[in-house]
Order: sequence, then structure tokens, then C-alpha cells
Amino acid sequence: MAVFSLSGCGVQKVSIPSEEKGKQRAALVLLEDAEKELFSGNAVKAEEYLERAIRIEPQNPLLWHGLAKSKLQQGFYFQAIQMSLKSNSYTSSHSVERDNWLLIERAYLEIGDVERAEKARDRAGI
Amino acid sequence: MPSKIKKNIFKRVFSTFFIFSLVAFCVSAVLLVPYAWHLNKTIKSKFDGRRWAIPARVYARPLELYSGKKIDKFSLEKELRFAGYRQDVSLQHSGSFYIKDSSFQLVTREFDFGDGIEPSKSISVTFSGDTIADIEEQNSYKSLDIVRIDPAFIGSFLPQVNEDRLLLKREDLPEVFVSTLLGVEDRNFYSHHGLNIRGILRAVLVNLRSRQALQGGSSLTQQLVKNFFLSNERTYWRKLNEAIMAILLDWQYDKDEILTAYANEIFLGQDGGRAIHGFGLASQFYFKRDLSDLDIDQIALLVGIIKGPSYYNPRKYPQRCIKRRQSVLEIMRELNIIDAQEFLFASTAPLMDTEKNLTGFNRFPEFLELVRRQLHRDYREEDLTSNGLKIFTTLDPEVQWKAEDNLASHISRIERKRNLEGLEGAVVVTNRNNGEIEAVVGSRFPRGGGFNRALDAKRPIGSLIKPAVYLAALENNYTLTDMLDDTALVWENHDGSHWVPQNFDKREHGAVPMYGALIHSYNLATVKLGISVGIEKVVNVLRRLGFEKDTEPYPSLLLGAIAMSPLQVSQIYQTFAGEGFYTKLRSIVRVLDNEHRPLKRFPLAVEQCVENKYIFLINSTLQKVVQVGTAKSLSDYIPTSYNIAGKTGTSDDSRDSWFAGFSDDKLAVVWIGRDDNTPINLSGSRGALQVWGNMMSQLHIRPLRLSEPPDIKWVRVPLYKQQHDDPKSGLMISLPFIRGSAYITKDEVSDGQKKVQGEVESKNIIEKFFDWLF
Repeated sequence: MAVFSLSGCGVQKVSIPSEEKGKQRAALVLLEDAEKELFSGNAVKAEEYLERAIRIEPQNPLLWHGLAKSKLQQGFYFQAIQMSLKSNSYTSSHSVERDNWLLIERAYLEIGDVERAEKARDRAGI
Repeated sequence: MPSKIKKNIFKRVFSTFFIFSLVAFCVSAVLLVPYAWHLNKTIKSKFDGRRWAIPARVYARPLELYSGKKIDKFSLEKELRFAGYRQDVSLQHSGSFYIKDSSFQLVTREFDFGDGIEPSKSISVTFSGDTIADIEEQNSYKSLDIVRIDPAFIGSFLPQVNEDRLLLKREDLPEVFVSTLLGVEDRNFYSHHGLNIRGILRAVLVNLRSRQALQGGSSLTQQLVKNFFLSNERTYWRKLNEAIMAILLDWQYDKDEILTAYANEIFLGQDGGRAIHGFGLASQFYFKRDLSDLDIDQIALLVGIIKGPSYYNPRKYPQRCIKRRQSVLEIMRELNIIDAQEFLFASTAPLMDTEKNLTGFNRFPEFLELVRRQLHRDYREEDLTSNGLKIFTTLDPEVQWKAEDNLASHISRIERKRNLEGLEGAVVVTNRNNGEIEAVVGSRFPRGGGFNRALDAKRPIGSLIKPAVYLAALENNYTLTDMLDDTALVWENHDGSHWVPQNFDKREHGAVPMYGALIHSYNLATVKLGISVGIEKVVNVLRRLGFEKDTEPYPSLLLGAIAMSPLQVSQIYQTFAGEGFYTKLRSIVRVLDNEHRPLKRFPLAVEQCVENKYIFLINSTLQKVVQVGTAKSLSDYIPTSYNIAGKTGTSDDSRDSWFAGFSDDKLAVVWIGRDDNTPINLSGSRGALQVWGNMMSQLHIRPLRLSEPPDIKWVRVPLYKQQHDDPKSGLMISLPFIRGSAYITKDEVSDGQKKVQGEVESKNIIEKFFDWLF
């Protein structure tokens, strides 16, 4: 599993072959670009960066979480939930998982499904 | 007197001539003005409106280079050449590369992807085996994390006239080129009023002498008018029309606008079925460079062949072409466009790069057909053939080539070896993780433009359906060690007829654990399982996996008596490969308009349609199919350590041979059969599997890693053996169970001891399993 150490995500580092490191660096550059775009409100542009990154590191949960954020920003709540679930299927990190459930909670609240939002919040462990 | 008479006669003749001329002038003015007005309308309607139908251009996926990427030097070179890069030791221009020892130096081209402009970069790529070790920017010696190469052009959707062009603006025309063009074709272009009178007089003289219309002497404006509005016939009437229209055009439009239109319109060569128009496309077609990147000799060549693109075809008649280029170079020297040294240098330059290697033009018609169908959901045919759309697809040229080659060569080999003939086949390769279609092969002769079997051949999928049946069972509280009954059965249909399924080996295998029935693809056990789970539930699973058509719940469905195209099968297996997440297969990523503005995106979308834990059990069993089951022979091609998950499929009477499977990065489906649906006597493991294995072994695939959900426990159980002679030989196999479905004490996992005690929901079945074993 590819892992990064990003603020707020608290993923532990493991030793990895140099081949994987190169891929991680490439994906990280794209993820950072995506984060910048998301920050400036350019969710579509962020999505483009993330889709490129996913071609390189498809099982990196942070990239899928990034896509979930971009979908949420665009108001595509169903896809935001699905991307979060996909991200969770690739992670063993509790913090990433928590972030995903919190994002699912927000998406359900936006849809107006309070019951599911609460369930998601429970899964986030808060 | 005589002088007076003479004077009168002269006076009379003169006045008659004057009156006659006046009348003639008035008449012709009366006639000419409306005629000119009519011609002017024609000019304005075409020149003011959109001047050309610009076909949509289709591109392959861009190649992304980064350290750690698996690609060997040979493949990189092939890809670059395909994307129009050329080998050039000087590395002076973008779009050139050079291989030096273990490093690859290249100057990428600036490219507008619609999600941002990728600037031109001069880079050095070093390899470690078949992996990129490092990418360095040449000027700064800085290591680059990722570089995106401009994508290969793979085809145009041409309108009926089959013209293709790349539009240029006035500022795209280099000044050396403009001076040369005008020097050769029309030296007074900027001063005349549409007609080059001196040129015309010279032409008239030559034509009168030879009594034929041999010479043109036309101005650029006239040539443009001729190409734009008139036919090619050599008559004085056409010439008159041409002259009037040239004057009108010149009168109303800017010189630079006319020059640019000329540069985009002129015919400069033929590429099979498409006509190469304009210097933008011609420059790519002959030299794989932008016009602004051309050397002097190349500019001279392009300007030279205006006179006769077929006659001076550099690929067919190099000597003729060199001679013509020389004449142009002499004019360039005479007009001081180039100096003596440049003249010498250009005169001795070879006709380099003119060889026609790997033109991207409609190189992959079967993939393009898929693209066209997908686009037709959003666009009209006219939009595709005339609005200059730019279509970015998911095609991976390397994968497509390998898929084509392997299908063709294996089918030929199988035919030779087994004395068969008339076999056909199809391959679809997708990206396992995002559903992007990387290759589509619809025939063993892929460029024939015939029946596209990958999209249109609907054939029974046989045992490829079984994972769906077993998935339905797992969702209904079965476990992988539940015992199934693999004995004969007779099904009575509503009309009183009987259906009597059989195993492939025509034998019954008695009590079989569920995973054993799947890895050995037992039909009888599967039918009984499907019936007890409920065929409706299997239909429901199929739909969730991505099969969009309504399906009748007949029991024969459980053995794959349902017709699907290889693409439809890919869609279903994409959900297995995506670990329960459905992703619609895509061949297009985005569409841009003529000005590179984004028109439409086809974003990645996922939808969980099967819970991770169930799909994990199935995928793990599909890995066992390859390790110890019907697809065991895949180890002839791919090491078992790659943990490939796959399934063989054979339809009734061996009419169809299928294999579907995935690695960590790619999913591929292969079909082999006959168009007339006659038996081929090849099982899935003999025909399609071999194509699959050989192809995937050449694609730098990664070993499959499944993401394991938290509620899974692994248990080692004795391996089910097909032969009952030695069931206690001690061979063990690890199988996943969902917590709660089988009770496991904490120290039992993977310790090699047979301490498994099935408890809780499945106690009796697990007990039965061990009773059967010991």
C-alpha cells in the first residue's frame, strides 16, 4: 500500500522499494497540485490532477479521498460518498478512514439524509 | 482628295470602333456587374463563414514519464515515433529525441491538454532495466517528478470529402517560409490587386505559342480562389471567373488573411484515403514537426511540391523532389532569403524523416469505432466531421499493438497445430482501477475494417458466468467450504422439454466444496447451487455487476447460456477487478473544441454494488482458479507469484473459448470462436487463455494485490483434489472466511494445523466438508 505522510492524515511510513518511491513522488506532486486547485475552488481541475495520479498510484487512499472532496465541492454528493467508500477500501489508516466517514456524513447532510449522516458519524468514531 | 477620303474613312472607322466599344462596355458592364455580384456572394458566404470543415482529431492517452514507470527503451522509442517524434542528434527542435548509452534525451512538444498547457521540456531519461530510474531537466540538471508527453494522433473523423488539415494562424507562418512561398509563387503578392498581370501575360504567351493552356502564372489569390470555389478544369472561362473572383477577394480582404487562408487550403499530398491540406498538416505529415520548427531545406521542399504534390512526392520520387527543392533553394538564395552558407548546407541535406513510419491516421479503426459510438450519444455526425473537436481517448498504443499481435499470432498457431481454420477472435484490455479502455481488437486482421467482434459479436459466455452465481450464493450466507452436490440432474422446462446439463469431463464428482466447484468449473454443482440460491438472485447480481440488458431467469443461464460481447464481459469483470465498485468503461477522457476550450469531460465515477467482503471471497477463489484450477496452465506465461485472478469459459460444444482475468493494473477479456458459430473444439484454457497469458506477460503487469476487508479471517484447509485417490496427502490451501460465517479460534489462523471447526451459521456444512475429507 502506498503511503504518504501528509498533514492531518498521520500515515505511518514504511520502507518501500525505490521504484515505488518514484511513483509516490509523481502522485504526490499531482495530489499537491490538486489540493491547491481545491483550495482555490477549482474542483474540476483538481479532479483532472487526481485522475492522473490515480493512473499512477491507483490504490492510494488519499487520492480517492481527494476525489471525494472534489465531488463534494462540486455538489456531486452521491459520487462524493462513493469515492470515500473506495478510499476506505484501500486504507488501514484510522485517520484516513475517519476523514472519509466525516466526508460521507457531510454529503448525507447535504442530501438531507440525517439518519445516514449520523451512521456515518458513528463510523467516524466521533 | 485621296488624303481627305482617307481621313474620312479613318474618322468613320474610328467613330464606329468608339461607338462599338462604348456599347460593348455598357453591355458588358450591365452583364458583368450582376455576374460579379453573384460571384461576390459566393466568396463572402464561404470566406466570412467557417472556411473549412475541420474533422475531429482523436488522440491516444498521453504517456506520463516518472521514475519507477515500467517501460523499456525500445517501447519508449516506438511510442515516441508513433507520437511523431523523430531521432535527431542535435536536439534543436521540440519533438526530437536521441538515445545515448543508457539515457534517452528528448525535447517534448508544448501541448494544450485542455486541463493545462504542458510546456516544451528538454529532458534526459535514464533507465534501470525496464524501469525509468530518473528524469532530469537538461538545462537545470533538476530531477523531475513527472513529465507528460503530448499524445499520439490516432485518427480523424473525416467528412465525406476526406480532407484533413491542421489550422494555422498568420503568426504561425514563419517569415522565411512566407518569403519563400511568395518568392516562388507570387512575388508581387503584397502589391497587386489580386492578379499578377506580368505572370498572366507570360502564361498567355506560352499558351498561345503551344495552343494549349499549359501555364498558370496565377497569383496566390487566384490559386486560393481556384482551390476554394472552382473546379480544376483548364478553360478560359474558368480563368475569367478566377480573375474576377481574385480581384473581388483582394478588394475586400486583408492580404494576410488571404495568405493564411492559402496556407491552410492548398493541397500538399495524399495519405491513403485522406487528402493532406495546408502547410500545418503537411509539415507533420512529411517531417513530424510544426511548421515553425522546419529547417530551410524542408521549407524549400514543402513550397516546391505545391507545383505538383503527386509528381514531386518525396517518398515516391526522391530524385525529382530533390531537384525541385534545389530550384526553390536557388530562388531563396537569389532573393537573399538565405545566405551562401545556408544555401550550401540546405542543398546537401538529405530528404530526411520523409519515410512514412507508423502514421497514426486511423491506425486503430476498431478502437475509433468505439470512440465514435460513445461520442454519438452527445454529438451529431456533423459535429464530429467539421467542428475541429479534439478528442482525448484512453487508448494505450503499446497495449493495443501487443493485443493485436498476440491474437493474430496465436490464432494462426492454434490453426496450424490443431488443423483448424476460420478461427476469429477479439480482445478488450482495460485499466483495472479506473475502467479506461486501453485496447480493443475486433478481429485477427484488425485493420481490415470489418466486423468488430469486440463490440458486436454476442456469444454465450459459458463458465465466465460462474463467479456471478457463486457471488449470489456468498451473499446468501454460503461459505467457500459449503458442500455442493455435483451429480446429474434433469430440468423440466415449462414446455415439457428437458434440459440435461453435463460437466465438461462428462463425469459426476459427488460432494464438492464450493470453492472446489468454482476452481474446477463444475457445471452440475453450479446449476444445483444456482437453483437453490435462486436464479433471480443471480440475474440481480449480473445486473449489479454491470450487465444492462434484461435477462430471463432460465436455469441454463447458470452455465452461461447468455450472449455477450467481449466488451460487455469486460464491463462485468471490471466490477470484480474493481473489488465490488462498478465503473463504467470509458474510451474518452475529454473533448475540446477547436480553440482547446473544454467541451465535455467523462470523469471517473464509481459505485459500490457488491460488498467488499463477498467480492473478496470470489476474487480470492479466482486466484485459486489460476493457481490450482482450470487456468493452471497460465503459469506457462505468468509466474504464479503474480496472483492473477481469472476464469476460463467454454460454451456448449466448445463453440467459444473465453478467458477473463486481471492483474493489479489490467483487466483483459479474450474470446476465440467462429463467425458462423460452428464448434472449434477449444476450451477456454486452450485457446483464449494462451492469448491472454502471452499478451499480459509482455505488458509489464504488476502482481495482483487484493484489498482485504477487516472482517476476513484466513483459514488453512485441506486442498480439494479432483482425484479422490489421495485426499489426505496433506496439501493445504488458505481460504478466506467472513467472520461469523465460520467459527475460528484465534490461534488457528495460518498455523498449518487442521484446527478449523466450522461453527455458528455453517456448522453442519463445514462438518459435512470434513466428514467428506477424512
